[in-house]
Amino acid sequence: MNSAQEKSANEIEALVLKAARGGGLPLGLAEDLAMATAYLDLDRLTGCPCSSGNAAIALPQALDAVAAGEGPKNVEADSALIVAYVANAEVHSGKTLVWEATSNGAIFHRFEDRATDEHTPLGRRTVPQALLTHLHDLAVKTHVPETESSRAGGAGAGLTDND
Amino acid sequence: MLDTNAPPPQMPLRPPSEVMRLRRMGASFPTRLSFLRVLLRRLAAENAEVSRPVWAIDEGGFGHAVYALTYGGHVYSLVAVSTDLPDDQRTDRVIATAWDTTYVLYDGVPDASEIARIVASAPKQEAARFTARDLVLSRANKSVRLFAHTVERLRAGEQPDETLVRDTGYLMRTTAVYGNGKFGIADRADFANRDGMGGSFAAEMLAVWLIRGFTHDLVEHVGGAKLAPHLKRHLGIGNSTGLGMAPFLVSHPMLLNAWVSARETALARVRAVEGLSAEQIEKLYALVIRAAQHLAEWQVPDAIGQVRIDRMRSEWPKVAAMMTPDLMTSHQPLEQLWQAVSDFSVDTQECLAALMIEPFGELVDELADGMATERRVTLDTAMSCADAHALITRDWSWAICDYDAPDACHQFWYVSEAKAEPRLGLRHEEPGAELESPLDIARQVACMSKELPESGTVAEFLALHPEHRAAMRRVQSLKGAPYAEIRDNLIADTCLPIDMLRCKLAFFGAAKFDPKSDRWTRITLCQGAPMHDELKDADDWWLPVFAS
Repeated sequence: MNSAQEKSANEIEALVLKAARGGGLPLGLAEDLAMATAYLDLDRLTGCPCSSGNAAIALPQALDAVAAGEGPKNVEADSALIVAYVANAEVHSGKTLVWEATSNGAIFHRFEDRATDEHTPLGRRTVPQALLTHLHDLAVKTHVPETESSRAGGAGAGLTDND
Repeated sequence: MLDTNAPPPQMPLRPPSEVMRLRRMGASFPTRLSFLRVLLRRLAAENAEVSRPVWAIDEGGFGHAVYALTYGGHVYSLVAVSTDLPDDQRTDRVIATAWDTTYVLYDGVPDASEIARIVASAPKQEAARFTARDLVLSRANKSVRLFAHTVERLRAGEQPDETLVRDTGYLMRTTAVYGNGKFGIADRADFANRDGMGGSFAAEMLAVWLIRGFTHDLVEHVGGAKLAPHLKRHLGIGNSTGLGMAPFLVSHPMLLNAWVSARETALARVRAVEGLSAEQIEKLYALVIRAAQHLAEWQVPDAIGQVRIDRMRSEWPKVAAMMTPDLMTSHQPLEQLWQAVSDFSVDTQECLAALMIEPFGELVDELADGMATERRVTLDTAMSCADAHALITRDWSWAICDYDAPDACHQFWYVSEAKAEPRLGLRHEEPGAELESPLDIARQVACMSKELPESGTVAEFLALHPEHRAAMRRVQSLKGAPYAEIRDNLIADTCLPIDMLRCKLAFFGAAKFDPKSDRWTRITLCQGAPMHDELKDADDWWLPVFAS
């Protein structure tokens, strides 16, 4: 069991990337989620986004469409996730997204060609215990079980170095 | 009027199709833009002084010590912990759980309670948690033979055997140097805007250089006598590196582009130098002699590695012979020399490239400022699929092949459940390929190109094919960052991971590459580098040689 733990921003991003891959999200979407995590208020999250069939697909695809001029787009998602994805998209595009919150998500209207208000990455913070345990459980699904031959040959080095 | 901000003239950059091949990346040498060199120049410019406020080491060499220095207006401390390690636990692998020595680079001056915390937690390494005051976490094991021999000799009132010092070159090897938030330590972003700490791996390099000094102090303490200065200066800090380092280059394409762009721009600038001063010619001659001695002293047990070194040894006198006074005093002499070595081995060419850059600090040192970048990969979903096709045709022809052929998908990268150690497996013989790490960039792009339609937008394509999102990002990111991608198939039977390791380690400043297999290498850092009290003469240590 993992107790609630203060983690560095990089640890959180790396853990989310791995958990999203372990949860079955395609790599590119896992990367988007990991990048958005820099702006994600973990305490306001109501569910884990690290598996397929959820907001981690709908949100980036809605932003893709709006960025390609195919907006507006309606999405259903956690407000904390929406804020995080929007912040990440604005920071990386250097543009401002015009959008509004709805009762269960958001409507993304369009990107405008002007710099946005500054978004500050949330940095080091405490990951709630239940979420941390869940992320770890998903992340280890990317690990290959240990075997004798893997241990002996997989790393390309012997087991002791006393020379 | 001259525009003083204009960059110096340069020759065309070498194309990525040449530079970003594994074989050439695996022939990398350290340059004056390597991170250790950059760091030590900065420390020297500041006249930084290292003190040792705590030395609580017993007669056997166990206990802890603290080193401190002021740099860029901040105090940094290295807390070093030395413990008694049974031989059967001494392994350079990630799966180790105990080490001879462990370290934390600390932000500020640790008080007694902070020292006690680090002394308790550092020996546990990955199994412990660290704080935002801890900037780097590391560990090092003894080179048992040389450490024991040196202690024995010092105790007998003698110096260690010069041949053994020359051939081993370090008292300890680091087996991990963790930065950027790992295990709870500070994120790089927390200190990267500080003066002198913004360079790539600056904090890690600072830790490594301080650790090297500790290994000297420790052996002198246990041996009860001082090492001769010339032996001490030759004793760098070893490092043992496995597959864990390779994925970094794939997962940080913009950083790789920044590093290689800086080095290639430096080479392009020196090739464009119109004429050399007498002083520059003398310097170049001295460096050619130094490189010859370095090659003569660089001996490795690995058969393939030694064949490559032997070929360099045979080619190097020919390089030297080309550098006649006539050539050196003619127009664009370095460009002439560079063109003349095009038939030589890749190893000799890369050594010469690093050498040619060396005397031209005024021309190239400012390029180091661009080697750290916050630039991230991009995804432009408004791009048309036709334009994406055009990019693939232009930049990715090297990636297109039949990935069902056994040789083309021979191996897979994975992370073991054993301490998350990165490993490599044979796809057709070993289990686990379904969990492979996504280092198969070439295959991903080739698969995407097959399904990418001729019309519509990237947004429409990715809505139907989310599995190609990562590949599309790579394709679009390479557009404006030509050195971002290793232009080889990393799952082919021909991919040797040590080529990736050597590229990255050379950017750190490593030399004396000593491959233990095609996926594992030992190296030496800081060999010949100034010691803690020698920073005034800091910069002339490109390619270490033994000064008897």
